[in-house]
Amino acid sequence: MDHFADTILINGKIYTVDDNLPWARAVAIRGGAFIGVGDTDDMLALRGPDTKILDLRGRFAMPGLHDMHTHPDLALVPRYRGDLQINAAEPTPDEVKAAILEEDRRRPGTDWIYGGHWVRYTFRKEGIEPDKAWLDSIISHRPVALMDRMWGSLLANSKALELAGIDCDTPDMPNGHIVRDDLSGQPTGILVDGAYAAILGAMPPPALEVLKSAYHTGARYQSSRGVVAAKYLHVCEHRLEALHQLDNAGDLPIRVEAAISWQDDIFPVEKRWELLAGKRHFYRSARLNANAVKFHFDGTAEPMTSYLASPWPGHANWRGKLNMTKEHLFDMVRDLDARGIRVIAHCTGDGASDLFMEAIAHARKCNGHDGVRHQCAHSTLLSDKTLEQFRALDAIPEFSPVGWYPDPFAMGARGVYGESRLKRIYNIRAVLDHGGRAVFGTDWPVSPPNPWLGIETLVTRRDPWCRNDIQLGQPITLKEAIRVATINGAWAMDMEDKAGSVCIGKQADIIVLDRNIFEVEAQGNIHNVGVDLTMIDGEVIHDRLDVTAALGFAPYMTGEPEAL
Amino acid sequence: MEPTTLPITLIGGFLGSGKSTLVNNMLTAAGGVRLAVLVNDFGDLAIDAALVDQRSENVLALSNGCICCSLQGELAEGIEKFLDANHKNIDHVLIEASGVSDPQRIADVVSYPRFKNRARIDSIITLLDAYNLACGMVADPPLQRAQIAAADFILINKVDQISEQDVAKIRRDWVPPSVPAITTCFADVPIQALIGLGHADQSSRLIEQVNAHHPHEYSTYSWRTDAGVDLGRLRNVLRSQSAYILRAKGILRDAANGQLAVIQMAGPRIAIDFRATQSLQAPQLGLIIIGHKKPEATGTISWSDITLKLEDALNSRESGFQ
Repeated sequence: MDHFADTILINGKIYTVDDNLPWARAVAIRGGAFIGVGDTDDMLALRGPDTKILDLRGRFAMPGLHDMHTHPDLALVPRYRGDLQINAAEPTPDEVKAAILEEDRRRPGTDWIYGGHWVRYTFRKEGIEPDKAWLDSIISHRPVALMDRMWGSLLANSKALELAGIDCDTPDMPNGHIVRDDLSGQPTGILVDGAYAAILGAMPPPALEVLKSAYHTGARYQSSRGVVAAKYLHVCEHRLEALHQLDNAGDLPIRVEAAISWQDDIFPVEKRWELLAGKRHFYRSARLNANAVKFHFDGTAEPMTSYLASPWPGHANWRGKLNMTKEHLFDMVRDLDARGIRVIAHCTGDGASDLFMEAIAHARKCNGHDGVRHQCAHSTLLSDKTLEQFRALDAIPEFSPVGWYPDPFAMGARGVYGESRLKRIYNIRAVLDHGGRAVFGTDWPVSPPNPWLGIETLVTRRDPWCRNDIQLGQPITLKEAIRVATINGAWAMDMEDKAGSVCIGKQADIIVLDRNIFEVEAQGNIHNVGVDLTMIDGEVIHDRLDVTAALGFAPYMTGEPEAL
Repeated sequence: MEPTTLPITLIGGFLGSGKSTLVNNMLTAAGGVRLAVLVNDFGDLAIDAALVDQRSENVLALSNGCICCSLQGELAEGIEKFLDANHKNIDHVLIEASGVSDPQRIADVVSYPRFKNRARIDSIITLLDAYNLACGMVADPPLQRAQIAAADFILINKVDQISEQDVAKIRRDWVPPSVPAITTCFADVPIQALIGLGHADQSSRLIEQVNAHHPHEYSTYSWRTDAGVDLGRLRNVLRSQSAYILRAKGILRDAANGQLAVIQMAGPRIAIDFRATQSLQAPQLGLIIIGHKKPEATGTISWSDITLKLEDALNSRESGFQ
């Protein structure tokens, strides 16, 4: 009886994000897609003998969320890699030593011992110099690297320095330095800020099982917060393989667009060119694609490396830093555009996004206007010119909530932009007013993985915990914020005809919340919303209250999400 | 001999420990040393900037937060601004760190390549609020310990409000053994001893000032040698005495290769720089040292003892370069 529904949700308050029918009471689902949206009685007409009925009892429901910028691997690999974790807040040198020796006993071999932490004070109090000689005296046959508590410096033994190729001839990095002995010129084993990237780069990639666990936990968490699709920015061949294996095993509970690192911004990608030449297609499924690249086009606010359209406050000439030439960018965007690969460029400064838009314009001119939608990541500062171009160039303005509400820390960090720029920061209002389709990404782990924090603060641009009375930038309406988090995200994954709203013919992605977010005061009451149900392609993925199994559903997971 | 790099003194310490008072004392006592001050306001209140008397034209208040973590960019900019615009008019920069920052993080930024040959950390001074420590009113102990860990000098400030036993307990519980810890009231210290030796042409006058104002607590010593010195051994000697030597400064000949080296010591911070000597013409070789009395003894540092140890550094690997 193929006109019957597999599933009918009834008696809800469903905000559909479909302008033709914004609100509905019920939906009917068959074959993973919506076959009916409307009143409860109309939908129940599609009930057959095997149809499962879920009564929402007046609950609020809406399309699933699209988190368009996340890094679950960066957030969770340390947890699963078994990094050394010294639990004392301020371990003494003896405690650090004991932890290293214990780790060596527990996991004998010649591979890395990496983790944290140590603190300068306890060493100084005991008159011990924290250096490679001290670490070597504990273990010299395998590389050891320990981060200090504030992540300001890393202490490495001689083996670690050797494997990272750090010696007296290694030049300092622009954003860090190698501490050296004045007399011998030899590295002491302390690597500050940017200098410890060389050590991290010398460590082997995380094992497949570690990556799988990280992605699995991350995707499960995202699903439990109502996310049905996410972009995982920066992947390599190992990360793609982990995602592929999860997907094959039925353990990828959200749709993922994985963006291959165009350059070694975070970790090395050995098979980058193979992947981009075509190997990426071997990972393709309904849930997973890797038709995108990601790279850091400019820097960040704190070290003033965001590339601005005009000099930084107080500087005559310093505009920030680009990590590649303009010519490199233009050629690569045109090339990848022609090959159907999305380019996702980290642009925090308006100078960077201006150039990125120029590169997209150039690609459109060369390849025609029906090419891939390229994504301007973060979009922290946007020029008037760029605001207008998103629509014309069919490009994706993406924002991350790490800085769009007045978090006390973020205010300090963003304060470096200066007062006039701060007023224009994360200008989502203006993007929408210019016809752009803004999307959002939590940028987890840079900010928390909970997407509702971003949705609330899009509407308020205020601190959810009222820690100050600042409103940062221009808010948008709740309806606009929901579009940003749903249909616009689907559009940013080229899925706007298949997902992103509750409407007949689309994939049946729907979430049910513990409150009607239109009926609460936004500040303080949206970021902590509970997601009772997440359904993707008509399947129950997350069932917080464990009510659907009894109705014949096979929920993928039940109960409260694990706190991350 | 003038160093090509601009010396920076970082002043750290928890909220209310007396940092601004020390900065004001330094501005008052600067004498011929041309000081510039970087102050960071914390939050909207601009507490520290309000307390710093604007008596120097080169006071710059950093706004919008804490310079140690979130505003490293602005810190770097502030220093660069001075270097670009004023380096000819400035002898020394003071940076008053936020009370809730770790001065080590600021020192780290100054060590980035962009400042190489332009600026260097001369010393980090951390103030402790002796009264609060003695009463056990210690806010954020891990942060305060990080501030202490970064210090080349510690000022145990406000000691007039506590007993000698309390001072001894603070030394025992908080102060690393390698760091000179000076007890003060109203952050009153011989400024010249803390920052003055960076400017060698004024050294003798500064020593006179130290001796004139604090004859019982501080002593000075001059060690002359034209012989080659085993600099590694010398460094070990100085390091072993770092709790009692506030400053040492001088030029010595490296016994290993005959090169001249500038030695700068500020508590446990010992820098040996071969580059700064290239333009020197027939410099006088030796070390000038400012010591302070041992806390547990009434007497001062034993110069004869130090001399023996320093001369021991001469007796190895003598080369033919002399």
